Amino acid sequence: MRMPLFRGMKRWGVLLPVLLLSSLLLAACGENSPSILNPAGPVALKESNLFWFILVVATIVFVVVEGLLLYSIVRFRERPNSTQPTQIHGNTTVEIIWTIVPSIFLFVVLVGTIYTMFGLTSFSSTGRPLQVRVVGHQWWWEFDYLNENFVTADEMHIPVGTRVEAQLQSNNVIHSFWVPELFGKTDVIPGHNNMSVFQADRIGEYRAQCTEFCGLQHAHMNFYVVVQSQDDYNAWVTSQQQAAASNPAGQAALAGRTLFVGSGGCQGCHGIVGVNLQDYHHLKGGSDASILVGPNLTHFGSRRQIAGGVLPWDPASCVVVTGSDGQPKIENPGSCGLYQWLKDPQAVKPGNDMNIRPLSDTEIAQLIAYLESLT
Amino acid sequence: MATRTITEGVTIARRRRLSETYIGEWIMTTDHKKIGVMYIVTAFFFFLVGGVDALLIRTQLAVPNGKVLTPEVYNQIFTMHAVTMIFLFIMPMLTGLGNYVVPLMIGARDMAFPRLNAFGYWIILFGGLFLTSSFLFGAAPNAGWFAYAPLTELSGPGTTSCGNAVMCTPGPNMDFWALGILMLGISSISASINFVVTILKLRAPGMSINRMPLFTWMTLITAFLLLFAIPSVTMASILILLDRHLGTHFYQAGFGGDPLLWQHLFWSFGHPEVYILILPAFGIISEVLPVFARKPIFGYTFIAWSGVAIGFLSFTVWAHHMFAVGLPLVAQAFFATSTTLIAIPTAVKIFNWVGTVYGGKLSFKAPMLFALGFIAMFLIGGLNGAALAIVPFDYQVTDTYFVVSHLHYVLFGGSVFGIFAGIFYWFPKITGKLLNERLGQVQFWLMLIGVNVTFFPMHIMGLLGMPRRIYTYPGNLGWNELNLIATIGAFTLGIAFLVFLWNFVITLRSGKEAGTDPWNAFTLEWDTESPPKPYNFLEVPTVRSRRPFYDKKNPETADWKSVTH
Amino acid sequence: MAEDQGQRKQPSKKQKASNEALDQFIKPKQSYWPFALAASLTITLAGVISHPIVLWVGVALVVVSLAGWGLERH
Repeated sequence: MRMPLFRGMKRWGVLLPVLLLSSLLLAACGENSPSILNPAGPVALKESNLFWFILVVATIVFVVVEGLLLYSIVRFRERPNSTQPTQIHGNTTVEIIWTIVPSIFLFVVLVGTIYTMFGLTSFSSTGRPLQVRVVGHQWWWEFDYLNENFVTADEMHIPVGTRVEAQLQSNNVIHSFWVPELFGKTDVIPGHNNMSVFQADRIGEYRAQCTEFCGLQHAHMNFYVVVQSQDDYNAWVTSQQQAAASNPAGQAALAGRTLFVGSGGCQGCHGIVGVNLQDYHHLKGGSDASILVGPNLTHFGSRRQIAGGVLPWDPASCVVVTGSDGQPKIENPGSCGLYQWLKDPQAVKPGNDMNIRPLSDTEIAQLIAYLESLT
Repeated sequence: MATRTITEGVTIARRRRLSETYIGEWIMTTDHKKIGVMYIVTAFFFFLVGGVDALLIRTQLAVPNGKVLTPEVYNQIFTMHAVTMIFLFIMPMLTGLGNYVVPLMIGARDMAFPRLNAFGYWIILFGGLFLTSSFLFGAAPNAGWFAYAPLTELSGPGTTSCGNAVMCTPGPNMDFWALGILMLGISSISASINFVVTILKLRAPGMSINRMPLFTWMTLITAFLLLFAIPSVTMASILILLDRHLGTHFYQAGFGGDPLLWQHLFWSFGHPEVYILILPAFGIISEVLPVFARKPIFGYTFIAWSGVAIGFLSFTVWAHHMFAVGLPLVAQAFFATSTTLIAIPTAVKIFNWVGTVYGGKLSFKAPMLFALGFIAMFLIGGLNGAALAIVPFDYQVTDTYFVVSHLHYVLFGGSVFGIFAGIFYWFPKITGKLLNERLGQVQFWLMLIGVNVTFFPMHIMGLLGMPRRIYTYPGNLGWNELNLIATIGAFTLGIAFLVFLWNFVITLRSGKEAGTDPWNAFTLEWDTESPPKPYNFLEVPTVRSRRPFYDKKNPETADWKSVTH
Repeated sequence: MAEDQGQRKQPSKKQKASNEALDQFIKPKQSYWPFALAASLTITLAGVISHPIVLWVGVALVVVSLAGWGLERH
């Protein structure tokens, strides 16, 4: 039976895989994506090489098997003069061959897999390992630099070429710690002490995202790993270790600080060292800072994003000007993410923990001026 | 009119009993054929429900920062898409096809336990309606079909409530899930017991295990898998219900429990489950290919025993869903090994199917198109699945759209293509009419193109870092075009099923008469009326080979004359 | 039981009549207990989510359905 739609099947059989493969290769060039095929560290490099190997093998198997199938379809289709085919029931020799050969091949791949697994975290590094306690919250990431004595959120700076040992903790639900360009993921599980060991060999900023469904705002729980030269990193560490300046410059910023510490103010959930925290781990008065639900804001001014990455943070788009009434206001609120956040955090990220009373535009401008000063 | 005989020759009219009404006939039926039809129709209904869920998801994800669905609704939709498709579509559909066809194939008059059979169906209907009704309460399950603890708990560590709805999942949503799973598990166990006893004890004389059709083999293996896998998820569900309502702490770390307990219990069910979803489809393909290639299945014994091997091995691979949770490397290596092992029998089957096609006289009727499409698409799913067994690579792509691509190639490209091969193949036997061939071709091509346009880009999305289960994504990560393409593909698939619905409706109304043996097939179910009489066979046939109906039609070249099995 | 190759002769008129009888005779007996048990079980499990009363009514119905099923002549 002739099937008009089948004409040119052979052409499609070749064209389709070629198209699909080339789209794959083209897309993998990244254009700003946190692509696993854009490795910037030894772990990701090994994992990425594995992918290329897999791609080659899978393509070969696909072409061979699919090719045989397509060949059979074309060659053995029913024609007016075809006779009944030989009623063959099987062929034991062929069966044995096509069981044994793939088995051997798969076994070799398995050995390679296990070898790579066990060697994943053996790479050469400079200096001493960096130890960071990474805490997954709902829905943001906290980074506690154990030996440097400071805590930050939403971005993790590391020096290039240094081994990093991230201790992964959660006191709520399961999250997953993943920086595609640096290393494969490890889950963050309450009650478990998982550790992720990695290194970055290239300076840059690498996007990371929580990769285990963790509730309503799982989609908005990302962070950045900022890889710097040793000097830049040291400078960053030094500045992070400082407490916030006791008196911020400018009236608006001062008013913002007053709002922060006022009754019902931000200090109920957020900590700033030198304001309501005596150090990164303790409130003034000695109790543990971990009772604060929100991220530490001591050096908020120099971060790139807010609230688990739901909005970017750029002081240049949040310019505080004086309005016609003499009060501070944000020049262009529509392009200022922090303004939108403070205006209505629930509208930006429904379900998150920040439930605040409505703030006036003046108060928002004052807070932004203060937060900007926390570099 | 219903009558009652008082004495010889004297009858009076009476009210019809429930069993004599149309509705009553269906509610009280214990006939495997009627029950099979009910399973199939119900499953198809839920397929459309799950399909709407999918289209909603894809609409939300078509563009970055989509505002079609709020996160609350999205989380319910993606959870219920999976739950519906797995438990309310694929499983009942395959059970229904098995229910209808297997007793006929083995020359039996019905299943071993007809009332249990009916019970299994009604639980699916009620359980499915129960689970889906949760949408009406705005409380559909919303923590994923895999329902990882402790997100599914009703209280966080050190708290007695969910507080700001942050630590856990408040509301009855996951109760619907756990109870629904329990109900559907009961149905599966009932059906499995029935299949096992029927297949082992009610085969026609001469039909040794070695001669029974491969669809029967696969159904038998699936039944055993269910019997051993369902208890695991049943236990897991009961424990989460206890945690939620009776103050236990099985999965809560703060109290000495462990979230990983959930994952081990769930995946001990979840992995055999995926083989439960595919093995009967393997069986359908193994029936369709020989008939439309006009030669026997190549390597019957190898296909059958590969199925058994897959069955056993499927219980040894579960933690390949957990490579990223921090298991000791040695354990991960074990599961990498077992997962590699299970690839072998699967590959053997694919080779045997190609061997069946090779050298045949191929007729490309709709069932055959779907069967060939199955081989082509399942191969892709098998390849990207084998890739996931390469653990360090898995660390990168697990929980990303790469896995979504894999699972849809095997479940859609595999199970759904297999299901439609079965539907087009056995529809004429069930209804006496042939589905429209032209529409079937259109549906096939829409499905083939749709599957690839929807799910192939997801490989790339995963490689480019897009995680699963996110209700939206930003526009500056290079994921936009791929998502849009996938959405277009999804709607293409939707059109394919509208075509099928249309085909179904016009065929029932005015379809071509099929006769008893429209495909010139080989197995016993075709040696009956279309549709078969309630008692199936007037005389129970005696079987002398694997193709008893072929033998009957071709006595000179019968199988039993040329081969010894 | 010796059988030939399952050849089915065209039924004679007398046989056609008895086919009708066969239709009635050989098919498994109908029963509403599976439906009843399934409904009862659903009510029971729905009772877990809703009211305990629903739960206990469901349990009672399950018991009744099991009894009916078990005692039915089939």
